[in-house]
Amino acid sequence: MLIPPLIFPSEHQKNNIEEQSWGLMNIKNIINIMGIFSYLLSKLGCVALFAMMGLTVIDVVGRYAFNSPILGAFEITSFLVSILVFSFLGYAQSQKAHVTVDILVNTFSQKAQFLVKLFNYAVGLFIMILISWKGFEKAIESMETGDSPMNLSVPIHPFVFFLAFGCSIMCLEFLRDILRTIVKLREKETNL
Amino acid sequence: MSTEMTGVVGITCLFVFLAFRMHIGVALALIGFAGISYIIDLDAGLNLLGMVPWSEGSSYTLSVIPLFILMGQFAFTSGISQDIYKAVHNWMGHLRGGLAMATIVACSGFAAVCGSSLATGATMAKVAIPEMEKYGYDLSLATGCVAAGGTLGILIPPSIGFIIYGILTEESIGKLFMAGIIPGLLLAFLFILAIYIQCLFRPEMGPKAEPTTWKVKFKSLYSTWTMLSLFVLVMGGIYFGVFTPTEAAGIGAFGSFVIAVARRKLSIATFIESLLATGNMTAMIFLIIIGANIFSSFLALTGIPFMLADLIVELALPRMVILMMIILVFILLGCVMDCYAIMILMVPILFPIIKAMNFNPLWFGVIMVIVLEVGLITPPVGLNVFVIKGAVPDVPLTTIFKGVWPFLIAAVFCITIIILFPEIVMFLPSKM
Repeated sequence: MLIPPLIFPSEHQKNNIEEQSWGLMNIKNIINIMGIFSYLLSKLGCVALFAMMGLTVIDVVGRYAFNSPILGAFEITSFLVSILVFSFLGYAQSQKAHVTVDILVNTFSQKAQFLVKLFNYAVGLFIMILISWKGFEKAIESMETGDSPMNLSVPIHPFVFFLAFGCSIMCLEFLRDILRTIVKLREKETNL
Repeated sequence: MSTEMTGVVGITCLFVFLAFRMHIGVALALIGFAGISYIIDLDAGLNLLGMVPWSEGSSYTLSVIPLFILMGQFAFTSGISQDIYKAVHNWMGHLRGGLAMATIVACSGFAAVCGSSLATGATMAKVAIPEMEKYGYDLSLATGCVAAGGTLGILIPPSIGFIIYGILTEESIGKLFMAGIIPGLLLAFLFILAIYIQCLFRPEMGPKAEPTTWKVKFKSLYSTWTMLSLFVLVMGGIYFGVFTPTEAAGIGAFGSFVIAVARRKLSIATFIESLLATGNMTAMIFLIIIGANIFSSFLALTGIPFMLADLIVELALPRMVILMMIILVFILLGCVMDCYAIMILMVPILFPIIKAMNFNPLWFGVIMVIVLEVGLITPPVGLNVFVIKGAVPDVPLTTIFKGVWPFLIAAVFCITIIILFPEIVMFLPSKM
């Protein structure tokens, strides 16, 4: 479905080992470069997280000390949550922070383990593509209707766009994982 | 295929996928999506995929999760655990097994500013295990007590476990926090008792350290005041209704940020590291929450949770038998899954039963958290044990698991006591 022919031009699959390792190197570079997006995005998430903390403190202090809470603090916090979560989805995937269960598969042969991994990443890619697609649709829809929260005259659609964008970056990470698994599988096979 | 049957197939597929190491969030989302598309139509499934990530991912209520994680991360970075440990060390070190007991007390203290068991275990392992090695402690006792003490992180508030439970069941997070305090202290006490009894029979496991003067004792106590006041500020604020849990989380995070800065432990690098670690964990939890939400829409549609509840009510088993069955399910899952994932997955399925059986949700929440704690230190997926292993790589896993056993027994005692005397849980929240 998604997998090899694009990435492994058939001439490289022939016997020439040097040529092939060059091909692998090249793909490894591509894999690394693809990681830049999630890396940069995670920095944005850090800003959102710190801002969320600051906002809450200022809001509470303002309410009790100066009797003037921040108008729309509730809405701004929700926006910050969305930026935090969707900017970190991809990065968390690249760091393998997402939880997986780990008993049965360890007993499989190595090749089977690789295939199971491939399948899992492919499913993740599939579901995230659907979510990103639906997210973009929702964003366009809310842009047209001009949705905005009650206490704040900020439209929500940029944030929904960001959701879709963050999910697309997670797709990219799944794609990276798929490529990486294929490269490893290749390396195993050529070594044997 | 009937709707109920679809549900059963869905749940079966879920467990198969999980056993095959699929992301829990992804697996939940996939099956929820597929199930709803099958029962209603594809558009309904797709719509859910468009709706849920936004509604969950931009929720003010859920912002409490990253903020409390951040508070724990800053506390972790601040190195405050060393001060706590040193203080308790001075007070208890001269007892037989005193350093191990001190570890438990220090873990409880650190748990009061950190909501994560793994962070509590990791930070204490680095501080306490070298010290115990120095005094010739038995290695399985030294590592076991840190692994067990670390689990207090999700029982003593602030607790990520209670936050997630509160969000899932719409129980008050503040009340859950209060409910966790006394059981947390009880469990810590039972852990200490477990150490005492072990050292009574085998004194060579925990030799005494040299006693200290009263002056040193009080002086070291002084260095822990920042952390204690932060705990009092956050919990007191929630208890007296000065601020909501979300606000308390923000203030707590800010407080531990200030402490870390004041102790000159926060460089640009460690600062960013704390934020990144928090972000990763947040994304992980949110992905599970999003997936679980899609999945439970599907489950609700099949009506299985309510059928299950009806069925169990009709069986007319004694309440305790049902409770035992639920605990058993949690323990089994705890052997193979991460504790937050179990909670997010199982609570929506089991909550109708809890309601139908008239169990108090706070009481059940506390029991569940202790059971999940047990899961953190039992093989094969005792995450906390692996964290300890990471901190002291030369100690074999089997040694740590051997050291954990007495604490497991203590935890079982604790659960029994709480089941027999629900007042332990209900006392503080009822005063709110």
